[in-house]
Amino acid sequence: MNIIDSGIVLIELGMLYTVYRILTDQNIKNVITAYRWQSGLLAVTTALTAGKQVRELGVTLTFFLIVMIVLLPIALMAFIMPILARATIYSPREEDGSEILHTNLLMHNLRKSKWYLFSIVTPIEKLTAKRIWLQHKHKKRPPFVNVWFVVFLAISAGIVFRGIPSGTQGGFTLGEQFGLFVSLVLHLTGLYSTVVKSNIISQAIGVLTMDQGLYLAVVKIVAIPVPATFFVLSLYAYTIVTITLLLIIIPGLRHETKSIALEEIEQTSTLKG
Amino acid sequence: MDKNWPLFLTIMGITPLFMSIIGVIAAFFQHRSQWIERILGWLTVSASAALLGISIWMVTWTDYPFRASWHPFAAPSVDFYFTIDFYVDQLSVFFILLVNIVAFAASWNSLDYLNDIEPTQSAKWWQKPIGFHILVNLFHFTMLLVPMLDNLVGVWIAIELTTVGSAFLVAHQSKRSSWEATWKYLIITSTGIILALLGTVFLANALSVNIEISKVRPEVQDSVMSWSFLVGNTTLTYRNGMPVHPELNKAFVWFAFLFALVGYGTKAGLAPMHTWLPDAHGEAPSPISALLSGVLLKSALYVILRFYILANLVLEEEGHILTSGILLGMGLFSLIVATPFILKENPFKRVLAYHSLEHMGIIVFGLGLGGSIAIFGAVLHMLNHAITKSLMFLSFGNVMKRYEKRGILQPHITGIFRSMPITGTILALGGLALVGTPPFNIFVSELIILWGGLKRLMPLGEKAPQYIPDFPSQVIVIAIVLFLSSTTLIFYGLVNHLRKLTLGKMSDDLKLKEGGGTALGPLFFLFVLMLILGIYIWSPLANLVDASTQIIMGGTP
Repeated sequence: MNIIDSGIVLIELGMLYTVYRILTDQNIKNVITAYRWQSGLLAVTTALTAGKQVRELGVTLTFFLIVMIVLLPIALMAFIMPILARATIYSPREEDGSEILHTNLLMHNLRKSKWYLFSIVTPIEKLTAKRIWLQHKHKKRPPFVNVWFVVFLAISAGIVFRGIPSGTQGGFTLGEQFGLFVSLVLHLTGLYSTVVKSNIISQAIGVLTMDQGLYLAVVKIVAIPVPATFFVLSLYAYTIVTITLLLIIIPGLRHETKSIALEEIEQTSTLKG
Repeated sequence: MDKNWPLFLTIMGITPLFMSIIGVIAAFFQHRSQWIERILGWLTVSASAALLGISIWMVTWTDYPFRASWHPFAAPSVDFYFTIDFYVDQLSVFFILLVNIVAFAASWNSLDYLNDIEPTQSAKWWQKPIGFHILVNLFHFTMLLVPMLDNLVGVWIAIELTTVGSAFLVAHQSKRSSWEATWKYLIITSTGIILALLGTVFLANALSVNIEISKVRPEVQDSVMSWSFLVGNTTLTYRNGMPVHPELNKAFVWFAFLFALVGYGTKAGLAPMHTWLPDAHGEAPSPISALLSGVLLKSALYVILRFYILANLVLEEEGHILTSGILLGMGLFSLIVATPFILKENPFKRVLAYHSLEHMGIIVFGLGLGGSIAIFGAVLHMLNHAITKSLMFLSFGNVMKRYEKRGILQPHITGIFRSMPITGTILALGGLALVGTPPFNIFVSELIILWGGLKRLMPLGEKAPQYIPDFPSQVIVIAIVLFLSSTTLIFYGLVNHLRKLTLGKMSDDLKLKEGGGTALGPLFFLFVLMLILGIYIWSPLANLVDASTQIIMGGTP
């Protein structure tokens, strides 16, 4: 294993640690931070993996494609916090703006216009969102339960992975094997988060974690530049659709339910039977 | 586009997208005249009618399949080609017909639904009538794209795009329950769809075992994920002109099928991934419920079918029993899960949503049974269910709208025969059709599926044909018994619900307007189709269903 492969494996180990934090940390803000770290590490590992494949296969590849591959995780790292902060506070179009605190008249007018979605989340709004995240009551679950779940999911990923034979001629390298294992762990833990997490913000993080798991798998095992280009575009579509809907659906849901806690939402829900 | 690609297919594909764009432009001028919304609405209906006419015409064609490749981006100097492949065979045409029938009826009924809606000042753009039409057209476009695309990743993107349009439409009424339903719909289907993409990734890796993609001509490298290439209906050539027939790694294809089944099965509303279905279908506006139930579920099932065909071709006999067995099991499970929820007290729209679960189960059950008769019945059932379920949602939507104006909400709606006799009669007859009563269409397709199952109890001969899974007789007997038991209980359940809705006591002065052409016209259209298909199947349509059956069984008609 050369130095690049070793570096990639180390970064992927870092991603496993972010998975551990996402699953075990009860604080929503820390979960989002862990997700941001995960996105950053994903950007680095996908850049290194893509660059390595380009060099090994001797494929002529424009700089544009490499940028396209790393752009998505970098964008997620940069923008996920404000997106989820906006999702957590009331819709800016709401008549009762008591939770919306604008720093200046320009922002206030922008929020009243139909282009409010494109306006920047202000620091005060971010603070408001963080306050709501801190207030959110979590189930008292012993930390070791989540740790055991992480271990269980990692073992499950390993078993699934061992069942998959090598697809490429000559077999997967050790680095590729480890990368696939990490991508499966991300996938399974994202799925687990979506199912067991008690608030809609963490559920959204779970969905996005699954997306990152698949992103890593695509870059690891699908041939570059084709058909990997198509897969990367599909993941762009998935992420953009998910983010767009988070910007609109979560605020709408929270406006109606006045809560981000799933238990509270379900208790007062009329959708039964 | 290739020279043999008919122009009408291109027109069909882009018309709904074009209508969406017109809607967006119209949105900038809507403040000038209230007629702009109505004009857009009628334009949508006219476009849908034209597309339906083209689809019916396509049913009579015989020169399938059609292929085309579109290169929106090409940079030969760096060997970069971005290709979108289209492939239309009889199975695609069947689904295109299905989409256009329901889209026409739903868009027509939307005019009645939107008639009295007065959006508030703070209403979002999709809550306004123009936004509704834009999204319906976008939804229509993405659903037409699914059966026309050849590239399996492109198909995934099209399915994902259907989520966008449909999510806003489910949340249209902006009630708390609508938002909840939308959120649940998004979370569950997003989780599922990402698994489907993982399945597609496995398929991409299955390919790389025996073919080095880097040696394939660059301008066709994107086509390696095309379904027609993977099943061997076409060839790609190396640079020196040698033909290439792809051999796929069986293990990866198996994984691809499983993940695609779970992933797309979530979108298709199969149990146990169906939990979003009753909420979303129950809370959406009735025309949208018709589209979701009638078409969206089938679009996801279409993709499952494409993976199923590929898996059976690659995995051969021993794999075929597994893939069909899984479908058989999932179909029965969906049927059994739906039964208690149809029997219990539930708002009627929610009951109709559980019927979607039931009928998707019946379709998958028929596909799993295998054999030309059962699969023919399953394919026909897709069309029959789409028509009948749409009729039920639209007619009950008409009822709900009129009762709600009088302050009577869903659990208390009753006496429809007296208050709205025409709609009530259609609703009652549609309900009887839905549970398989003759002489309606659902009875025919269910009977064919059952007949296919019973025929399987007869010995197949020394060696079963490759395309029929050789289940033990006991399995088929148990499956048929469970099928009949569930459908019988469901019959009782729905008839009970209909009795309360149509025959219950109501106050004597509750006489409601039935509604005009936009309310009753789509109902009559669907009702006539439902009745005709119960008595007679037009021979080009029968040929189309037959060819689709052959494709499912063997990849080519």
